[in-house]
Amino acid sequence: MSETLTKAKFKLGVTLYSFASEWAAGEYTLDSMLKRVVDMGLGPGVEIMASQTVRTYPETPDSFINEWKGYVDKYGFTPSMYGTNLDMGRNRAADMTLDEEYEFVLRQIEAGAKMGFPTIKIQSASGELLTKLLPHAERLNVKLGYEIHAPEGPNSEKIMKIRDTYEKLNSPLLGFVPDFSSTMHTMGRSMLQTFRDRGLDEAAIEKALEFWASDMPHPQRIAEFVSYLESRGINPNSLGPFGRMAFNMNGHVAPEEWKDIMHQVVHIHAKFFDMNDDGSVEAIDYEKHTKIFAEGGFDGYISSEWEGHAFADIGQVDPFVVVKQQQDFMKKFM
Amino acid sequence: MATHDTVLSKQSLTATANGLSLAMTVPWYRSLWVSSVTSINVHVDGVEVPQDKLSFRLNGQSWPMSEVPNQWETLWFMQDRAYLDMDLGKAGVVGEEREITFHIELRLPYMQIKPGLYLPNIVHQVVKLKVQA
Repeated sequence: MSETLTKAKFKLGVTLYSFASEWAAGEYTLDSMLKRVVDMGLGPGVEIMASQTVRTYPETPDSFINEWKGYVDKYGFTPSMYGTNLDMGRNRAADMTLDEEYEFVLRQIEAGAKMGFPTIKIQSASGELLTKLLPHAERLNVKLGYEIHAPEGPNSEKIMKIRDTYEKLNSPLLGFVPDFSSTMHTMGRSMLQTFRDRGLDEAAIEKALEFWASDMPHPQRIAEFVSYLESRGINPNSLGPFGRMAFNMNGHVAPEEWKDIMHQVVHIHAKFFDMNDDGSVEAIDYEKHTKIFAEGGFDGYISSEWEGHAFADIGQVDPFVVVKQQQDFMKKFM
Repeated sequence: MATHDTVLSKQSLTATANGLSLAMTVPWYRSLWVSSVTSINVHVDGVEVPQDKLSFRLNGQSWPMSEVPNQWETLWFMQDRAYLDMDLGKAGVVGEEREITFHIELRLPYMQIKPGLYLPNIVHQVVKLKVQA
């Protein structure tokens, strides 16, 4: 007898971050991009990032909010999460003060709430800042989510500090956004291909995988890889930013750890880089991830987040098509 | 070339009355501030263009390179091209092929390592481009 699946309560969707290259190149307007999302059935949830989508960022004038609401009505998708940024270093003369941080983020939270997003992604979860923002989240009835992304995991030191802060503030509106990049079972194929394109041989690739999979602390894994390259006479700078990215973008925490924060999950990023020929997702165990969140009773949105654009040239992959494939694969386990 | 290292395209190089101009895409996955540009260095056919002959232009505003890191209230929206205008002392010639060595360093204003210190993004490109009209 086949194993019974727990019926998932969560809904699927996509973040427009997946289409960053096409957006930057001006191949789409917001209208035509949302139309293609809906035409290809990639919703119902749609997530955007203010700093990508909004020309007047961090301000969001009513004209933009009305434009957005018009798209929601026209295309019938559901706003899922609004990504804010905290550019505390935009003025080189001085980092933002706490009050400036608060004002910078609050403006974006207010806009996201007006645009109908139930969840707002936040970039800082410092206790001081959250204490000031929380009354507004209550007033606007939005949840605030801090993303847990590679190399962090639900139980890493940095995240444990935030869990402590959340416990002190004790609000159901404070939560996390798990990103599957934290819980990969190997480095992504496109990352390894980039290493090959930059001249690494198979022995070096194997070493990269070995250091990646080891239990050493994150900075040490990078340092060990760098010293290996140097011992072989390979200049680590020949990898450009990819040496660091390989370890920062591909985490190897056990997926089961997501259960430890299940009650605080407010949104999810179903990260992926590449699809296998058989229709499965490479480097990330989607069956396991999907089941963990279905069994955990998560009832929010899972946004597909294709990050292959960090490696692929524009035009090599149609990101809308791979998101469709990835969602079809996930549906098998829902 | 992917989201974090795409700056120039085949159509980037254009002729101006006193030289050449390069159209630049933000080499990151989101919009940044003009102040996020730490520095730009460019060589044309192996010859470095002095910093005081470069200016950074965006949406009708233009700054000398020394002023760029101070423009923290002007957003470089990711769908907008910024232009690096190079004063080479003579008009650019449409149709010529020029070798451009382009180096840009960014400071990512939200990726704080510690107070006052931010993660950089560095892109170095060597390309042969045909001068467009």
